[in-house]
Amino acid sequence: MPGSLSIGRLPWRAVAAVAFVLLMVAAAVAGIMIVSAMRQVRVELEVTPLEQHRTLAGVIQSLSTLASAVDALRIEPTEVRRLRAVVALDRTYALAIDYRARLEAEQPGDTGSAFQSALGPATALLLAELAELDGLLARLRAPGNTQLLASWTRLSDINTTLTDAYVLANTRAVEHLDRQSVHLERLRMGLALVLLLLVGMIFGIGGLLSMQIRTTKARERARAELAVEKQRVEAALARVQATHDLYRDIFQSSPIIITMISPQGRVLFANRLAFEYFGYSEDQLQRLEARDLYVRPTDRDAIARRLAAGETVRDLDVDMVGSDGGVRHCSITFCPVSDGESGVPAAYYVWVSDLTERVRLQAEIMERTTLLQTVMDNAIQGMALYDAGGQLRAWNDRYAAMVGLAAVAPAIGQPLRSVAEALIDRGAFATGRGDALADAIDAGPGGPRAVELEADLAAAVYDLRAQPTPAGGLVITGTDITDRKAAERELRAAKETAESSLAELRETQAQLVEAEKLAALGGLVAGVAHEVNTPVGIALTAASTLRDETLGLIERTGSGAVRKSDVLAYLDLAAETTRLLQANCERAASLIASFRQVSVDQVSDERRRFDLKTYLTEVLLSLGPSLSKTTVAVSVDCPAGLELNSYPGAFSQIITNLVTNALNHAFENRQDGKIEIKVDNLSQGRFSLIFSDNGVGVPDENAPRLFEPFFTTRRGSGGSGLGLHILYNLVVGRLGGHVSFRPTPGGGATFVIEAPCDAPIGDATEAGAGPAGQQP
Amino acid sequence: MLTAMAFGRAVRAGRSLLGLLILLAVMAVMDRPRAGEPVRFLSTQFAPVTEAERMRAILADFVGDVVFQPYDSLALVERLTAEGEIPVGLLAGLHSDLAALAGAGLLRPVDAIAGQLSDRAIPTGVLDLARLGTDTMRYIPWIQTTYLMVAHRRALDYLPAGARLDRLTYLDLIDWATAMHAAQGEPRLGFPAGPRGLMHRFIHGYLYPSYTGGGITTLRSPATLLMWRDMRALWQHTNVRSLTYNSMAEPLLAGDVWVAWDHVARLMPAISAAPDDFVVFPAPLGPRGRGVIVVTLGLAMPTDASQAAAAEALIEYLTRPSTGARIATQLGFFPFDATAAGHIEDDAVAGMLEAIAAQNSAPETLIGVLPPDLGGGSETFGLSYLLAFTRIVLRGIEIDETMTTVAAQMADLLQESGTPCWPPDPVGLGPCQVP
Repeated sequence: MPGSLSIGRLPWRAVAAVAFVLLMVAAAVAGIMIVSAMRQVRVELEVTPLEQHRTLAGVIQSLSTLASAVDALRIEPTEVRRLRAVVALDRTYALAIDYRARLEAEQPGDTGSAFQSALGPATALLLAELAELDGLLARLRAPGNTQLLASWTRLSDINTTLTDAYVLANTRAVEHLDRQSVHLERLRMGLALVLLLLVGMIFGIGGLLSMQIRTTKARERARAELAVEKQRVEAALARVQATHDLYRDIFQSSPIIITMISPQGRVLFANRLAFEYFGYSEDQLQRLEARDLYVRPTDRDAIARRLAAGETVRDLDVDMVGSDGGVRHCSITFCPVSDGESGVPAAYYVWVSDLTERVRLQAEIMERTTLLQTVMDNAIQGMALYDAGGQLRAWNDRYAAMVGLAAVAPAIGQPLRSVAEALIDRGAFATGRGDALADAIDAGPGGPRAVELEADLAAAVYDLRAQPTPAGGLVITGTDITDRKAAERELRAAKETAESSLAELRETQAQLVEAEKLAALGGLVAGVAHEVNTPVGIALTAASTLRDETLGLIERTGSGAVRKSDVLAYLDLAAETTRLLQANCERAASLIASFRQVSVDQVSDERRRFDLKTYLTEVLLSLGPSLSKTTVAVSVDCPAGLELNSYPGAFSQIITNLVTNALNHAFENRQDGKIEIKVDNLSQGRFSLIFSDNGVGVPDENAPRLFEPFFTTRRGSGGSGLGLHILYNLVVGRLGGHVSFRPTPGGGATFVIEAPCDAPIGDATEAGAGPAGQQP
Repeated sequence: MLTAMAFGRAVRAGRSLLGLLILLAVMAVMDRPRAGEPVRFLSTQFAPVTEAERMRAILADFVGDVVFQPYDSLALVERLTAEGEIPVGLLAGLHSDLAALAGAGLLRPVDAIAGQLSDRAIPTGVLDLARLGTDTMRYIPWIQTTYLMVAHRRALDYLPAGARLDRLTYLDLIDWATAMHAAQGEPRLGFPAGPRGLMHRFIHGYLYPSYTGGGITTLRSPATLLMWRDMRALWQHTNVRSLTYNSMAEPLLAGDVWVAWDHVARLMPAISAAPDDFVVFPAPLGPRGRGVIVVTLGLAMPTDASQAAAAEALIEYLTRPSTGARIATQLGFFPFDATAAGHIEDDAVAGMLEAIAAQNSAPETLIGVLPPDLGGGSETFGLSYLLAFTRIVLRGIEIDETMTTVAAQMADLLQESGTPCWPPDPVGLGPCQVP
């Protein structure tokens, strides 16, 4: 039993169920019986006449063949024809026997009676005739035409009879078949009605039962569905409530002022922002009419007319006033709320957006724009602003004049590319430079577009610069640099002239330095000659004396007048003179050797190792002639064994210049002049040489210029002013050191030279380009 | 169409044979034909225009020129008289036709050619027939037709347990027919026992050899008693209207008959109309094997053939499986090689070929041939067997009494014609003897 069905509650249900089942069984049985009967009738209708007719047709056909064979045999009684006739007879006989059996198998009173009455006798007659014919054919040995003819005639008659009976039976069978068909059809219809009635009853009872069952089920299902529906409704209500709460929150927390007003303009309700914005409480706001919020009555009237006309009021800018009397710039939109039937708005939602800030920003933007334009208009540069699309948005007159913008109208929106192309076509840019501007334009927002180039526009030269803006546009500035370009040209010319002069000056300086070197060398030679002349002279005098005394002795010896005292006096003289000769020759050789080294060093740039103390002595010795003319005393304090790997020539020149400079400038009209040379071996492979004198010193104003070339205080006295300059260059450029000047405490001048013991190879600085007036 | 062909062949075979003999005799005394001429191919079969055209279409694919001439004895004699000489390269005829020509010494041996065609799957018994009782082969078995059993598939439900269609015995057939009769209330077995049916072929070529091993020389023997009794039993469950059936195709299609025996050509309409409803199978087996009649169409070369090389090539072409498939499809004669079925698109034809090959090539098959021309006794020969059937089976007359009468008639007939025995009876010299 399904569900909660309880058949036992009402008795009629059980009865109905039982009746239902019994009816089902009865219907089934009736159906089977009816179907079986129908089949049987159909079989009888179809099988019996059909098969019998077929068999009868076969009998008739075979009988015809037999008749033909008999007739042929009658005409020409050959053995073959006899055999044919016998075979045909046997066939006919078998068929007739079969047909008779079928006739005999029919039930009397049925359809068979019609066949039996029509065909039975004929069949019997046929069989009898066949038997007779059979015997006739068996006996046939001679032409028996008459008997065969008679037999053939009878067979033909039988054939006719059978054929007629066949036709009649066929007709009657067809009629019977039709009647049976009608009967069958009536039976079928009746059965159908009965079955229909039964089925109807079955379905009726079954329907009642099922309806009852369905009703109960339906009730339970409805109950369950109701419960489900209730749950669904409750859930839906909950969702609605949640949605309502959500929308309420959205409404209240909306950053847009939302109100609802009646068609008459009364505020029905508003969100929190509305109260805050206008400065009214909810109660106050609801007592207001919307018109009270407008600054201009014309605004409210215009809105009212438009709403009344059914027009859309959207994003309308109006001024509204709050409780504080302050004007608020707003944008309002009206959204009608239909009542759903007539279409007439029952109320309006009003969205109010505050535009105060926007208005202020607009004013500010306008002010800044004006300011920008003013700045642009007053700028001495040509300026233009292009947007990201390359369209001109702002410019000044100078820019317009620069690019010929005034000839193109309208200027606004004129693409930068056309300007650039016009400039390029006019040959404003140096070869290839115009492409840089075009590339900057084409690079687009985000691309490198800063360009600096010059545009030569025949009348003027401009410095064009394109700088990208944050918005993706370009700011083009053009500065008139015509004057600057002219000044540059002049400066360039002056520079070229100065450089040319400087080159000449340097050449002259080099020549003078070389001359000074030669002069120094000449001085050195003179000094050497002077120094060597003394011992040579003494040697020569001694040699002459010895020669004279020797000749005298020879003469006296020859004359026999020589005495022992003469010889002894001669020997004493010879010994003395030879001693003088040797000593002075050695002196001369030593001097020459020393001078030669110094002179070689002076004219040679060879870097070699030498003992500083020894070399200083040799240099000073070469300066002996110059020093002997004075009363200046030179002292050297140099540690022994200090070996330098440097340029002795330069060293020689340096000492020579220092001494010469001191002799020329320091000790004028002085009898107690002193020159002190002190050498110290410093750490890290360096040494210092301090050359000081107690002369007149150097005036303060001249000190900064001591090492300048051609600076001298004795220009009229033959001073070239190059000595200290050459010294500076030698110290700095050749020795790799530095030289400085300072006044000697108590008067005089002190030069401090510091240099590495191992001089750098080659010149440390450019020769002859020493700075002017450097001080330590 | 195929039914007409079968009758036409039998009738024309006799008439054309005489003319062919005249033709060959004339050829034997005539000058040799000029070389380079197309091969002349004469045939006693495929005389109707449509059949001849189909054969010519098949011959069109031969490499060489062929002139196909269906043989009509009167027409050919007139032609011979008018033109004087006609070279013949190849002859096609029934076994009986070619046997007569060979007996007249007009056919050359073809053993060498047969050796080259050893892959054509020709049954040994058929090859032996081609020797025509001599030591050499006188013709190449080319194509064949025969008689088969066919059953509607719904009849298979009543096949006796353990019975196989390819090895059905006559006792199985009796049980099968009995089962169908009992279930259906009407007999469902049928035979072409009508006035123009081929029941006499069944009695002589199938029933007799299956029980007795022969058709004439065993006309009266103890085995024939068993045979006729089984036939009586079989007839009890055979549709009596078989006595009106000349062909089994219509009764099969009408559903009056579910199992039948008949000539291949007469069964083809039913099988072609409903190939999925019918199944063909070999004739039943008797105690002595399966007696069958193989109607062989052979290819022979005249003794004085001047186109031997071309004729040999034509023989090779005609015996190819692909060529045999075309002949089977278009002309109703089937090759001996069952592999030709692979070249046949028509399933009915292919199934028939396979069934024929299975029947005629089986080792237990006793191959017989159609009776030779017995002169005026050919119809008597067939009627004798029919008479035995109708008297013994239909009329219930004593077997021995009937067969005595029939044997006397047969003996007179054969004696008068002087015809030697033919398969399935042992071939010998002199008139075939009837016991």
